[in-house]
Amino acid sequence: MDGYFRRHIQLNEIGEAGQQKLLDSRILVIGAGGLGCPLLLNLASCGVGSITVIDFDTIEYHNLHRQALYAPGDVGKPKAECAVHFLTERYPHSRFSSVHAMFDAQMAVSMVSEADLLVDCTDNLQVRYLLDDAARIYQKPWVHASVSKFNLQWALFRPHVGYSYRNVFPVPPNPMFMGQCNTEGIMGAVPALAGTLQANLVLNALLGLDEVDGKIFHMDTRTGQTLCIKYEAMPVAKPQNEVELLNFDYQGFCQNFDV
Amino acid sequence: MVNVLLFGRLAEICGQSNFVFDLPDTDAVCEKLKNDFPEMKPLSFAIAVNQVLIVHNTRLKDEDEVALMPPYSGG
Repeated sequence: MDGYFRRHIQLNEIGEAGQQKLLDSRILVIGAGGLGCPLLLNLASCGVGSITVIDFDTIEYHNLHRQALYAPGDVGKPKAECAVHFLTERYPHSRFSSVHAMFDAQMAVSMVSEADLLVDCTDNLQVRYLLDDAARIYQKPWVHASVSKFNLQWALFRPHVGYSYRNVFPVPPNPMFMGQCNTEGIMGAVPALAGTLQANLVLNALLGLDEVDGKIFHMDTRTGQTLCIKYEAMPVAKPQNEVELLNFDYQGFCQNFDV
Repeated sequence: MVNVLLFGRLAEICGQSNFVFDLPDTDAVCEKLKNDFPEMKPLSFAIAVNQVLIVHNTRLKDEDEVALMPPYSGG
């Protein structure tokens, strides 16, 4: 192994074997926006070996203040393709592929089983619940982060052993009352912070160094107050298998809120 | 007295991010906040007592901390 990863290898907890583990890892990253850009930079530079980037969106000018993989000349181009182009030029130890499409159940069935870990960098609740379910069915860990204005949440979930997003938020929120970056604005550094914390969880999970099962983190960046909220492992009723996953109505589920 | 922490949209609706209440349980905390701030009624959020998620109404004792955390969706 050349000197590129020397500072990683110096860590007793990583060493050459750990770095090789990262180089042999395959991950799916869904979303290449405010969270995905810093996450991808961190994971590619740290030598996560195979990274598939999935995003349906194209770059808009107002994305650039927080999505550092893109330049003004990229406006109008697909995010997944531009992200992979940027990363391929700079990070020779990793292999990248892009999918310019919305992540759906069909894609989960064809792609999740081949990955070691999944990452949700989207702003989409349907994708989040789908990923939580797919991770449970295919027994994969997944890493979550989301932001709102000056606040962030992040967590590593292992739904197949009972630690799932559905445990913390069993009922999707009413979308009418959910803040989105495109309607309420976002402090540029907040998703950068969240995506970097998310990348750190990914590295720890791939290396087997994490000690965060049953914990979800929250930070208010204006006060610096950070919470580590613990929860018990619990079973989730549905969907339980591939067929149920393909037939589950995520759109309906995410509209089925209590008012 | 219990210390109640609110985050995100909940804090915005209430105009402050913490309250001190003399209330017996978590249901009473939620009921008081929803009565005082009706805009909170359609919102869903996780409830933690002393940083442990609860799924049922939970009795509170003096100096407990109740955190109300909504899900975020920005990415």
